[in-house]
Amino acid sequence: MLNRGLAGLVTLLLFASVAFFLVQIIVPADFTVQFSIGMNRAEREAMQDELGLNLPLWQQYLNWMRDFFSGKLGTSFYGYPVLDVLQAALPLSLLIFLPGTALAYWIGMQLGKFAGWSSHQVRASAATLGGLALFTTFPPWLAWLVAYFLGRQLGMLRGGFFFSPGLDDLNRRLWATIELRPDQIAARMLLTLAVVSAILVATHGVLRRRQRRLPPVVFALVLAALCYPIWQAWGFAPQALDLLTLAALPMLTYTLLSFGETLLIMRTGMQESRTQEYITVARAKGLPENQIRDRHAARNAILPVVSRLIISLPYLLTGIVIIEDVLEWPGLGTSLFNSLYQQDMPMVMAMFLMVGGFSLAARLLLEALLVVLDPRLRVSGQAEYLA
Amino acid sequence: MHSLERQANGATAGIRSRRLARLRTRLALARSRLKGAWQIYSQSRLGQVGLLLIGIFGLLALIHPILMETVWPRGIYDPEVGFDPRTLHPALPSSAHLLGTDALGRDVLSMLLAATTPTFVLGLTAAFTTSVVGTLLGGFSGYFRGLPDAVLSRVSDVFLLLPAPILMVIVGTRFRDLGPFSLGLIYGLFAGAGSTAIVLRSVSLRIRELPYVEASKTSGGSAGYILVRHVIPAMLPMAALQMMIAVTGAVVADGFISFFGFTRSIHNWGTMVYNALTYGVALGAIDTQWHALIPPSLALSLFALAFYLTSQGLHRVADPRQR
Repeated sequence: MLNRGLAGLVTLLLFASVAFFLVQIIVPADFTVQFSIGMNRAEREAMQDELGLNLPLWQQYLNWMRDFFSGKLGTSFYGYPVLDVLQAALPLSLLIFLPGTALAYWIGMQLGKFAGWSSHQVRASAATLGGLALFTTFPPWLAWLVAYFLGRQLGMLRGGFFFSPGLDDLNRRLWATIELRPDQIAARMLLTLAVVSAILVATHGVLRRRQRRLPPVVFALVLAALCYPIWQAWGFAPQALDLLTLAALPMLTYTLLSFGETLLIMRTGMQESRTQEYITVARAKGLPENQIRDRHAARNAILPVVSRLIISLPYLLTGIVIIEDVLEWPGLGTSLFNSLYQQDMPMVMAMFLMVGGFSLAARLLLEALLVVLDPRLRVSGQAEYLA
Repeated sequence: MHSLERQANGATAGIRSRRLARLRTRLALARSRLKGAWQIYSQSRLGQVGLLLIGIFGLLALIHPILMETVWPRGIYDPEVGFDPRTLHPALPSSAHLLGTDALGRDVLSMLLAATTPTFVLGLTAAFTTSVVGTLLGGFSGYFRGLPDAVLSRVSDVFLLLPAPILMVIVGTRFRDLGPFSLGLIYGLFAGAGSTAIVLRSVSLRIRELPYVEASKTSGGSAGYILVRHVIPAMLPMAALQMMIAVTGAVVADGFISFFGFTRSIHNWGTMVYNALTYGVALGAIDTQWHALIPPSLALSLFALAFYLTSQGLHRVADPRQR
């Protein structure tokens, strides 16, 4: 594990360097060019001096690396600290990404489980085809479909595609009564969700030792029942709900876009395990069918799902970036594109590193999870990635 | 002397004929292996549907120039500058314009068909690049292990951290006039060095432990020989599978770039979706633009689906556990 962590650090260093030079290649000229109409040469040079743009490239690189590793992300070319922008964008992105990914994986695993296990051919193929169609669909089009039909025609969801930019749809009167910004509330919501989930997972572990289980539905209900009073006590419950109803549209789109692959891998795994000997043994023992499916077959079918998640993590991140931009949700993706348009180098670099650092952390976490799930890996220590 | 020469000639002829025979055997072997692979592949109904879809798209790509030459007058049906003065635009589907016209008066069907060939070019370039880069990197680092593996794995990790579609959007902001070929190449390089190399590395790690590789090593096969003759051929089914996945990824990524307006390619489904949506919103009536919005979206999704389905069929060939 320590080894993996060190390798991760090396990767991050390499990644930062690659990102730096990539951004240098991409940005067509230096930042000051876009203001050059209103400035004379001396003013422009003064600006370049101030931003450190006239230094040789290697020196810019070293400066940037030094600042990065001493924890300074610097200020945007527009004068505001990069950290502030990240702090505003990250919680809103995570509010979509974390619950969305959890939901997508849960749905994918459940559907895949049934599709791979059931001998009902039509139902199984319908689930497979649905998963395939959602997985290969063109994301902006899917976002539009969801926004148009569920949002506009049926009036079930608020906000969305080209209709209302950003968080403008929030209930103004509600938000006037509170000092916190939406992103701050999102951060607090995420914090409570994480803490309560951690407690629930721990309870689940204790219960399992006593041969009891916490059904997912109960899990979700308890999560909601515990979180809401906490938000209320913290004083932002109505605003949190307002934000959640607005987040529903990007979250739903993201979930729809992401669960297909899980479904397909899970289905294959279930089909594979149907003919295994331990399943025959379980049947011979007289175990009920759903127990064989959930405890014996599904447990093994989950492994490739998790190891595939490590590979497809960047694609999930792409999905969230695209959906954010299309649905104009003011998260990291939107900030990334905005800074790209404005050629705001420090911002672009910070966004890159945010995405990279996040997926690196998630990857290490998933690898640890894989070792927990698969006892064989504790011996060999090598996960096998398959498509 | 004379007889010696003849003998030598006979010897070279012998060598040549033996080479020919060996070549013939190898060809026969390859053919039977392909036949076996096809048998496994054809068991997958999804894979067959995928091939059928690819065939249909191929036909669509072929049919457009023929239609332009014969039935469709260029002034009206040109996918770029066509305009039909007989109707108001955007026009709903009619017998003259099977899928209607867009807000600028261009025939939607003609635009749809015209975009097929560039999409094929993009997808196939990406597929080829991905599999070549991925096979070389993955095979090399999996076979040699040690230092080269450590270095190459870190490189792959870096590319894995930066998803190819986002990279393509970013590259698109700088070089706006990239054609389908160069976009495919860029996607292939990034995807090939990233996830594909990681997947193929684990395949190569497995192959190098197999008995026949061991046997080749003990009978004095050099590393290069083993790589080229044993390891890489055994990796090919998985590489083919990755190729198909790369097509899906590249086509969708290209759709993004066009959708965000980062390319100037006109014959492009992503651009068509973008135009339909923006004109729809600008005209205040997205409902009346459905005929310009749905066909390109569906075409893009189906094209990606076709190659993904093919990859599902190939998965059975590549991975014995799938059968």
